[in-house]
Amino acid sequence: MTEVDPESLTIREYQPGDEHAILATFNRVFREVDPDFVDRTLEEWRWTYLDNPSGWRISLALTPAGEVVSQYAGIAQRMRLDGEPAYFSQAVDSMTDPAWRKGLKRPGFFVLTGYPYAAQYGGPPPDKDVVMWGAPVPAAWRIGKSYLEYELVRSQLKLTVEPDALRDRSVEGIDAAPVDAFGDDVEALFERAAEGRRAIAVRDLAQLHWRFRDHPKHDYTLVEARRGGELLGLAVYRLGTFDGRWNEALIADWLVPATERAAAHALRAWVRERALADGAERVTAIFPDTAPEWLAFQLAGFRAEPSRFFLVGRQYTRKYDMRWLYRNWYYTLGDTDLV
Amino acid sequence: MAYDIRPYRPGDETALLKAFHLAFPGRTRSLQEWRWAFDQNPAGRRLFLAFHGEDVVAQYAAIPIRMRFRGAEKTFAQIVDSMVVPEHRRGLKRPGLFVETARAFFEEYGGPDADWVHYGWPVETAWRIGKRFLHYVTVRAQNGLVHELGDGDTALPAGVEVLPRFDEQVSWLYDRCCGSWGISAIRDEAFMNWRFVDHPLHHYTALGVRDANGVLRGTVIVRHGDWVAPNMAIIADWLVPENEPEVAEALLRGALALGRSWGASASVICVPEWSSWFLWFQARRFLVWDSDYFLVSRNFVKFLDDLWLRDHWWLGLAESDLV
Repeated sequence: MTEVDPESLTIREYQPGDEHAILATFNRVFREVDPDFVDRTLEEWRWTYLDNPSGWRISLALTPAGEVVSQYAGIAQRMRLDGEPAYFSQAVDSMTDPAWRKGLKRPGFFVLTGYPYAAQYGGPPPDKDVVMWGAPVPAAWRIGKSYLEYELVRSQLKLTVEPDALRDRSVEGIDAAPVDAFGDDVEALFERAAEGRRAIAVRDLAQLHWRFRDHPKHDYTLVEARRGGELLGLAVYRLGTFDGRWNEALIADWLVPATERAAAHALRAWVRERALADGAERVTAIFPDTAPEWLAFQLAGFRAEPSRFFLVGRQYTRKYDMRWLYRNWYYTLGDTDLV
Repeated sequence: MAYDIRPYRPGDETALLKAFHLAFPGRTRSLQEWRWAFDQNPAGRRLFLAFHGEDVVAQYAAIPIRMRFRGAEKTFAQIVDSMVVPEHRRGLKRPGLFVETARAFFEEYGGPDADWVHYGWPVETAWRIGKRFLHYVTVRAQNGLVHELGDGDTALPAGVEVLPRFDEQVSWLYDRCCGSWGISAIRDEAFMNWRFVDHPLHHYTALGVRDANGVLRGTVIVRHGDWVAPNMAIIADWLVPENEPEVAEALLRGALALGRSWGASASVICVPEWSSWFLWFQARRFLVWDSDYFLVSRNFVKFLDDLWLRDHWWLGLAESDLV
């Protein structure tokens, strides 16, 4: 085991050039725990952090030689919170080099980089992250609730249906069709869809295209529902693996104003046809069970099932605690890094 | 101020009921209800009080429930009616009288050789204090499965009968149900009669299906009331072996018919998400609703953490004071 002298380590935010050392440790750590792991490329790393229009959050522990011992990182999200701009961040890619893991007494490196992360990025709106959240593995959850004030938001149920059991059919007068890129009017759509939702991640052109169109690894299909040219709603589709099940037709994003029920029918009908054409076993989506979509999708034929994921968070302002988040936060699979 | 914090002693009930009515204005609690909850529970009593002179000014209380875990009997306890009367809510320096009473309670009743888990669905204020000072953790947001009743039968189907009281057969039935449950409240004659048949406030109807020899094959407990929405046929307990679908179908038809006969608008049940019943009810047009109740626990045995409880505990409305 490597002798650990915590005093010799530098704890600091990411600086340009650190990505090579981060990736070296990241790929070594995850190669050892996941036999199916494929090394992350520099392109993927840059996309995840540097290219995100909402920004990056990275706290590192480095040796004097510049090796990354531990990382606590997050994907920033520009939010609309009670109508005002704010930030959340999704904790991802936290890691500690196993060679160092046992060399430090409790609470360990996870916490060693987690504390400065919280101090640097967490705080009041509009500039700081009001909430940090994630879908941790159980070990990280246990440490996080003991040392980093993690709290449960909810155990995440998923909504699933066999494609031919989906009840929606195409809607006359509404054209639901794939597009190469979303139109400029997506931002007006977001404003309409955000009405009545007290916490929602900004879905503007830059964010949506970064998340889906420009993803370096996965192919997503962007779908718009229009009536006579007017954008009524959007969905993002991908055939992939989720929660241990492959060949799932995943609704990776969904943005439909509450008043546009016909557009919702049309988009689900498009998903149905595409899932059947793809030979998908099931269509799967996630929504908060407090969102109107939760019941609407069940009425369309979806059933709720447990998933292995649970969402946890840490609040940085008194008002936006996890109960408030449970009741008011709208999100989809696309808010996460799970698909 | 000086307080004497100690376990309940016979005779304290008059003073503690007076405190209850000061702490919860608008709610009433009769001596009969109190005796049912704390004197007559076959699993016993958990009750700590804080006195200021002769007056009870705070209470931390729970309803214990006997549990089965890998064949052995253990105890959980549901926290209920915890309170501090208004004029004593600032009676001690932080963390305050509520926390000091709770800590004494946990010290007395919680532990690997005592209650394994204390749990409840606390109000927001109690949750905030509990997570900060008392190691409360959220196990899950409590959902409900809801079915709109609509038109249909109002008479019980053939083979479904009303059970006036439970006998030893309900223990046999529980034994046949609990094999796949990691941990569960023991549904024996004593528990079922105390919890439902002898309840002083609510009227529950127990329906049963028997085999040709008169042996109980399944039971469902239904009550007309408000939970997650007004005017509901609340399925307060569901005890049916997974491998007897015809019993389940008959009992569900009976429960829904009973609900219609009461004029209820919908029926609601809570079953764990990990259980096969969660999908079974959805396949019969029950929709999953959120409820704004959060199951919270204080765990005294390390492996029984929030994730384990979420994934292994057979927990329904019977183990709650919600209905």
